[in-house]
Amino acid sequence: MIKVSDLTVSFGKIKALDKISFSADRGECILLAGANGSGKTTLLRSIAGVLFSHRGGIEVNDKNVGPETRAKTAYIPSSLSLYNTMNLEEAAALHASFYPRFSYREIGDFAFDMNRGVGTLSRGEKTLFFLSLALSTSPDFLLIDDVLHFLDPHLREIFLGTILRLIEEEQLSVIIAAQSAVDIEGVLERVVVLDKGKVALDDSVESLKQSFVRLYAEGEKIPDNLPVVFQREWEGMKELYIYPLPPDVKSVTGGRMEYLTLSEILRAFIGGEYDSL
Amino acid sequence: MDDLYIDFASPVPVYEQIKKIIKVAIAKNILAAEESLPSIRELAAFLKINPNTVARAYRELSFEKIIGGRAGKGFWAAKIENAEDKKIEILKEEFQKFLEKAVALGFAPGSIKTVIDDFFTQAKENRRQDD
Repeated sequence: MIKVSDLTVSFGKIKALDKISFSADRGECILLAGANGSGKTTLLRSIAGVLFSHRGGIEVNDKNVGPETRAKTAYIPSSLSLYNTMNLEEAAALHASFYPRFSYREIGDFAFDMNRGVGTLSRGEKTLFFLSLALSTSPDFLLIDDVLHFLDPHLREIFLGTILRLIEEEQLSVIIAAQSAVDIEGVLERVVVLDKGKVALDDSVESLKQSFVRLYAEGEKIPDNLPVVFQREWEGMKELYIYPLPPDVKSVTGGRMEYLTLSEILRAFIGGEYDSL
Repeated sequence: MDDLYIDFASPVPVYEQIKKIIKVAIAKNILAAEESLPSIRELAAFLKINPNTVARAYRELSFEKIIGGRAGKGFWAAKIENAEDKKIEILKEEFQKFLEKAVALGFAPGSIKTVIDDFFTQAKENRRQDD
């Protein structure tokens, strides 16, 4: 169980995270979404225990973040400069030295030549290698930063297949930071959206898909009691994004209602301008 | 199974879609009685969805006695009594959705009937042209 309470992280005058509260259970698969600079990396690094200065609480399995919890959380950063100066074998050995339990795990049947320099790997290969290192420590929680777009479709399938298997076999909990849900929508159970350091949305995928709709309307005929989070208008046609749609509403007079994929929902949320919820 | 496809643009939860796919497969006899289903892991990997979602679909289907079995042991299609009735049930569900959409678009019952008649007339035409 990860429990973040009123977490504030500042870099000088800038609040990267502003009193964030958030929790995650074993076996949960969560998307952490948000525009660049919204605080995703800061949140993951705080939970991973590699970012020390903060106000508020972060607990992993009921312990404050520290050396003990770092053994249970594995973080895959999106900067690819880690261990660049050594070969894979040395990198694995160095990584192992930070953890009480380390057993090198290959990903699928993707076998690396361990004598290669880390710096010679392609971005996709590095991402898979860092996933190997992360899973080699048998973590309870896998914290993945924005790396999925480094992987070509084939590698992405290997990456996701491995994670899916571990979710099922070992109740691995996964938090993925990303800006879209392409390819992973089926895997996700929950979505948390950050906006300027605050939680703008925290909902299950199931509930979100049923209550976040797009409404096309011409003229002014639509009822004005709908919670519009964001809208666009051109040539007399309005495009409204409604959330949360009241549960008993299946259609709206005066407008054409559409349900959206998770990626479309995120694009509307992150790409549009909306008043904070 | 070309019906084995999850529509992520639909608000229908994924586990519901899986349940529907399996029910239809059994009703159409694509899945014979007592034939084994893919394991939770296999289906999750194939569809690229969370194993918990598949597990939920299988649990509910098992509770509804549409399938038998248990996680870890394997699942199989149960023998469906009154397959014809189940087929009609499924068809009625689809029809309900179609009618709701038609009404939302402003069709009157008479116009809907015309659309249906035209559909079958056209289908007969196509069959006659094929002969």
